Amino acid sequence: MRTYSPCARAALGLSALLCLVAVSRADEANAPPEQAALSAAELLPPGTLFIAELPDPAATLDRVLNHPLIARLEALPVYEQAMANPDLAKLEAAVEYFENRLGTDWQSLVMTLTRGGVTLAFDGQSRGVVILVRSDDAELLERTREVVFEVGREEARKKGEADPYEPVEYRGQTAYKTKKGAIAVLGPWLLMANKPDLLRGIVDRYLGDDLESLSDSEQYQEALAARGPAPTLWGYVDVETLRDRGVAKHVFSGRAPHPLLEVVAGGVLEAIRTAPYVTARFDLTNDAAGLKIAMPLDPESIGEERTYYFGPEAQGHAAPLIHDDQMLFGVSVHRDLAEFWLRSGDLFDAQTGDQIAAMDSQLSTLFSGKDFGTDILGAFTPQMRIVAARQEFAEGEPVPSIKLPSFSLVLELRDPEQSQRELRRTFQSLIGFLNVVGATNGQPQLELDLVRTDDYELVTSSYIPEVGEEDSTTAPINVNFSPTIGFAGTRFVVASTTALATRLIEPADESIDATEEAVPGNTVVRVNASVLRSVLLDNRDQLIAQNMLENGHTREEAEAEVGVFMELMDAVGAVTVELHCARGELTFDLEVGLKGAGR
Amino acid sequence: MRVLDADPDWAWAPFEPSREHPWDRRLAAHLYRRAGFGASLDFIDAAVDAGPSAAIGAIVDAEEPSEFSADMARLAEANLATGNAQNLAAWWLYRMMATPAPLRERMTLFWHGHFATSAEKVGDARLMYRQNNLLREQALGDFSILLQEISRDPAMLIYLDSDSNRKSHPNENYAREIMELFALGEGQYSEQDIRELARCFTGWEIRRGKFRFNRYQHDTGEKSILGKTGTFGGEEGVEIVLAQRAAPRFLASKLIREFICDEPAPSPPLIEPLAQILRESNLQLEPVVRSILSSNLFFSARSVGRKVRSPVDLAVGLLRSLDATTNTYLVAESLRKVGQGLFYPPNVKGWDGGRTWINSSTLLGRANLMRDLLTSDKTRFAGSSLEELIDSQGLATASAVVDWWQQHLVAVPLTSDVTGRVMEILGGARGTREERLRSALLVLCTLPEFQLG
Repeated sequence: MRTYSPCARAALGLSALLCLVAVSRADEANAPPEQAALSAAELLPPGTLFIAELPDPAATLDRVLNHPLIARLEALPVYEQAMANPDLAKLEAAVEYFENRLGTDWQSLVMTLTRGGVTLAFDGQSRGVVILVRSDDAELLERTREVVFEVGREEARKKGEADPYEPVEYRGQTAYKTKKGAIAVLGPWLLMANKPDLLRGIVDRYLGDDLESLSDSEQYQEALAARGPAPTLWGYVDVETLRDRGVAKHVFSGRAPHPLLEVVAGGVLEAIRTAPYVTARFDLTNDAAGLKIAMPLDPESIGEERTYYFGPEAQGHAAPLIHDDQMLFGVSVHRDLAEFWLRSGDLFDAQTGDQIAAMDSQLSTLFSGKDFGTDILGAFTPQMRIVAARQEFAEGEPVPSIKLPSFSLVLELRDPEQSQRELRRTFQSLIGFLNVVGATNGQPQLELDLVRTDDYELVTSSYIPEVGEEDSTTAPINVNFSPTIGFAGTRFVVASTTALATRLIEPADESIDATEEAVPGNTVVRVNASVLRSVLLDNRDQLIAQNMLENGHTREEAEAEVGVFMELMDAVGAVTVELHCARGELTFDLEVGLKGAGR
Repeated sequence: MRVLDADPDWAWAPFEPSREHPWDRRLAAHLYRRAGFGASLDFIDAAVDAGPSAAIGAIVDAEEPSEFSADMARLAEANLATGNAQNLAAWWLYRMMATPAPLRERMTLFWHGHFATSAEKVGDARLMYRQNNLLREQALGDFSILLQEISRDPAMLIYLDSDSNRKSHPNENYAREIMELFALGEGQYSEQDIRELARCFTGWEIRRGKFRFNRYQHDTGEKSILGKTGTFGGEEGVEIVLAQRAAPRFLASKLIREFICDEPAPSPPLIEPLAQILRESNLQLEPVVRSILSSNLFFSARSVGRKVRSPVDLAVGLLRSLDATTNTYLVAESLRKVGQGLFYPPNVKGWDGGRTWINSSTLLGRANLMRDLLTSDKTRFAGSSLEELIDSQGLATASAVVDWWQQHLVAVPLTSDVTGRVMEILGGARGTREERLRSALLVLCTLPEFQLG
């Protein structure tokens, strides 16, 4: 018996779906020739709120089936186990039946039946969903219909049910009513809709009635024009209409319910408050999978309270990401936190505003009466960077059972002379406070130290190991931390470990800048999957233990499952997220690097 | 007051099967339930074939292979990294389900209730783990060593506020508990004995999770405890307590309650032969436990089905009997909700057990515990579905399934009404066969009969 890969099985599912909905006779000879060339948008009503297009399913299927990642998945031991699933054998037998009856393999069948693309749309007026599939082989379509109808009717007969495909005529066209809607074929088009009105409107347009369509919408035309080269999958949402109809008011209100969400996504909320539409495209290549979401954003329309996010005239941009060999993830953003803090009354509701005011008072006390918003946050430029890196533990040092990554925040000081002393003093106070609290709970103590060179200064702290546990390999979780701050010119680093702080401060204005990657944009996030895999491998024992207790697995089963997860992780490269505000639009880009077999 | 009374000679004589009282699946299942947490029918049938003496010997003499112990230690270490005692409870449940020496694990649980120490107060999962290892090590070993070790156990001393015992202010907590709860029982000592014994423990301290003797804080003066006088230290104080005639009687009484029945309390003549075994063996635990498990009383109607199952017995018993595995984090959490959180006993007296396991709120909680187990997609039976387990046993009809469950899951016979209800679910049309099997098993597990073990 032949075998199929997981992706092939997914495609098999699509094939089965297309076959099972079936088709009526594709009689292109009866269709007006000029109408056969109409696009899906020309057939759809103007009130279409959502449309998703798979322009070239054949190419997509081919790319998926021949993707190097598939070979990698097929090499996993778990793949063979999955193939032994009896349900899969049943599916394979069914597919073989259709292949024998139609005289073609399922891949060719799917490719031929969908050659002109597949479109899914939702019409706001009829509240109906329609799928439009464009084929290029009427004869194969007809034979497929016959076989599928035959099987469907036989199944219904066995159950004592009525004919599941009831033919109905509309303007000389035959459609079939089914339990969940209707199916029709118009020339090269196979149509499936859950609302008859929606289907009738499409037939009317196809037959040449002078009706408005989605393609007449300027908004849609604008979005289509900005689409660029053929994507793997493309989608469009009419946000303006949704907003006007009062759908998801909280999303379109432009307000974030939580300060953290505001800092992360305030810009997106600002854009969606006024954007007429949103588009999304998905691209799959051998090396990467990418998702791009875009929406128009007029810099003039940005509210003053969001200047902290976009900068004056929406020109604010993040600093280049910092590169580090052990970087787990890096974040670089443009956020003027002082402005954010001072404008919190405009950004949030009264309750959140009160909470921030209370916090402001407490933080001002911590910083010796300095105003937290103006004096402390105002001491930094809006360019903030965060680095998380895998930790390595040297021999002869205590090694914690759970090995956490180290984290660091890198900021630029507007006036180093004025700010350094205050930051240094606050850090020392904080360590002292931690020691007092820790001592009352029997926790180990942090020892402060100072490192000064010509280029930089570090204020370090580290846990003093217990006597006899200096080289323990099961040290407590505290050992992961040695809180440190550093100063080098305008740069200010606060890190969870001295090692990371040193790496980030040491190169100062020389080598580190050479390794910084120039990425313009408002927000940049990069996750290095190979380092993430290393971090997980560092904690493999914990992962296995968790798997054993959570799933009731034996150690062997847990090791196998964790192994598969690691293999899959190994297939992922860097994951990058970028947010740009340029050329009158806000774009969100997500790219996941993929590694093929043998890499 | 009612007492458990019987002719001691008959009661503790080894059980000999007879035509009226045969050695069968029912008694073998009883043995596995009490001396462990239940067993699959394969084990039960093997025990029936082997005969009572060999079956009891195999259970009492069972030792964990060193590979298993090492694997469990590794699993515990990985869990301890989180510092969370609740995670440690999940580990212990996993161990209970997997151990090839269930009697040792059951005795570890017994000592956990006896020397009750809660992580709630200790606040250090590693100290709880060390105590748990000590209890397991001496579970069937030497009670004298166990009591000496527990007297300097960091988790115990922190729990009883005895981690700083100075001669100027001797802390009486531990001295009181060792006499009242751990070794002698009420009425076997005076308040003066407590005060004097507390002086013996002065200078015993816990610093950074370790025991330390601070000789400067030890009261070196003369003490009089339970009729003995001298400049005793802590170890000698414990020895004096252990040398009391009441000690083996107290211990035997607790073991009878653990293995024979919750109530009524055993009569002194019934206790005495077991106390004598303890005395003759210098408080070795294995001989007395072997005697109890081998006895006529253990296999009599006064014992079979005469204990209320603890939540741990309910959960682990069901899982072990059906060769099942599940998410032990969830089980640990559910056990805590129904009052038997491992590493979290309610107070220094431990769990009261017996009828106190059942009240209006815990009854619902116990049903929910069973539901959680049987509806969880993490619960697998012999690594697969319940349906496959049933099929692998060749159980073709609903009545065969119910019979099979009855024979190794339930201690007391079910009425035909009850079995009829369970069969009705099995033969119904709702859901898949797997769902029907699990639903029927759930009904069985929430029956009053199932609460007895």
